[in-house]
Formats: sequence, structure tokens, C-alpha cells
Amino acid sequence: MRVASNAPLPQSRTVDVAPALPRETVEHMLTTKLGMSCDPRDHRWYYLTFEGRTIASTFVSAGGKYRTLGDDLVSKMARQLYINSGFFLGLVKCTKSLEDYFDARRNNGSL
Amino acid sequence: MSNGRFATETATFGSMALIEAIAAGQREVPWRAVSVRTPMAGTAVPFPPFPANRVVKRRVAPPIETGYEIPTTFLDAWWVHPSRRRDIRLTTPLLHLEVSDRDQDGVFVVSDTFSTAYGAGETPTSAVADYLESVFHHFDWLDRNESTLGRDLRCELLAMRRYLSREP
Repeated sequence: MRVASNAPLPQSRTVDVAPALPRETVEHMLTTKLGMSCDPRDHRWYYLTFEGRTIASTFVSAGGKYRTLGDDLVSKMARQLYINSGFFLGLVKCTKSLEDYFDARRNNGSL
Repeated sequence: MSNGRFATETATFGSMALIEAIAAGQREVPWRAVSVRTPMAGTAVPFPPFPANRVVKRRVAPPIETGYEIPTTFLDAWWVHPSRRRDIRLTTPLLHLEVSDRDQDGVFVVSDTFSTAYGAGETPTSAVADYLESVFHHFDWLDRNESTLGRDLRCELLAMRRYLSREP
């Protein structure tokens, strides 16, 4: 069978995958943009405090051989912050701010 | 085309026309038909091998919406060990965990149904071990800081107490 170069392309159903994010970039976002504090007992855990209450915690996986966080890990971290993956990517790419995050949480009724 | 290596490979390329072209020995194929996903990363076997003493029962192997079955996500009952860490123990050593490598980057991610804790590793077994570290630590921290928790984390702590408890 030969597929002509000008033939209509077959329907390809692949899953959109968000680009992998460097772990250091994500950790930088958590500490600087969101102002999360690192757990001194386990540096992979970060906690976000708002008006004296801890409102979110997240865990940055620190596997030895991977230094980027794939779509799976990003979605788990977003779930821990009670936002979706798109919003998480916005925080990393600086299209979303801390105020946007608090607004999103307020809109969810969780603040 | 059920679960199997061939199904995984074909799903990676994402197009039956492309597969047929390859099967026919043709080297020129429409480049746009090729999926941009990393081929075969972490999907070399249909179901990752488990140590015999860890697997209790396979429950579900949910398909992923790609048009083909990619057996990289499944919900299993795991007999986890150790079930106790310091003064915290699991009320049951049998946990239903989701093990997945949806993005096929070679990193397996493990999560449960009662908390936001997760673990990651290059094999399902190492990912479960990382998950256990994570869930014990998470429960320990939440339990110690219960008085300062916001609403969502307090709800999560209550859910986790069905599975984890602190004992002297």
C-alpha cells in the first residue's frame, strides 16, 4: 500500500499533552509567586498560608532521573492546589498571578 | 487489537494508515500523521510487572481516549508494605491505587481515591513506594496542624482518617 503525499490525512486521535515543565521552574513559581513555604522536614512539600490558615499543600516529585514534570505530575500538583492544569501552567508562565489564584479559590468557595 | 505490545505501538503512532504504510514497507508517509508523543516511553510492556507479593487483584484497566487501548493506566488493589510509619499506620494495608503513565514519559504516577497525595517513579513499584512516603508525610503534617487548616485541607484530613490513624 502506498500513501500519496497529497491524499487527505487520516484522522489521528492523540491526546494533547502539556509540555513538560522544568522542576526548578515549578519550585521557583511555588516559592516566589505563590509564596509557599517549604517543609523543613521534607523539602519536597510546600504549604500555602492565607490569613493564618493553611489553604493548600503540594508535593514536588524529585525523582533522580527526571528533571522535568510531565503532564501527569502537573495535573496532580494542580489538584493539590485546587486548580486545573491550565491554571497551573498559567502560573508557571506568568499569565496568572497570586491574586488570580486567590480569586479562583474564592470563586470555588474554598476561601 | 486488545491489550498488547502491538496495540501500544500502533497507538503511539496514532494512525492506521500510517501503520499500514509502515507494514507495506513504505518509508514516505505524511509527516503530519505522526504523533508528536514520545514513542514507547514507559510502555514497553502491556502491564508492568509486579512483585508477586504486592499484587492482590487486578480490578480495572480503563481505556484511554485515543481510539486504541493503551494499557498504561489501571486501578489496582495494592497490598502495601510497610503499612506503618513511625506512629502512623494504615487501617488497612489494602489500598486501591491508580497507577498511570498517561503522558508516556516513562514516569509512573500513583494516586489514591481519598487524598491528594501522589507518588512518582520510573516503575510502578517505586512509584507506590514514593506514594507511601508521600501519604504518610501528608497525613502526619495535616494531623499535627489540624487547628490551622483551611476548609479543603480539613476535609481531606477527615477523609484520610478513614485510612490512616495515629497510634502511640
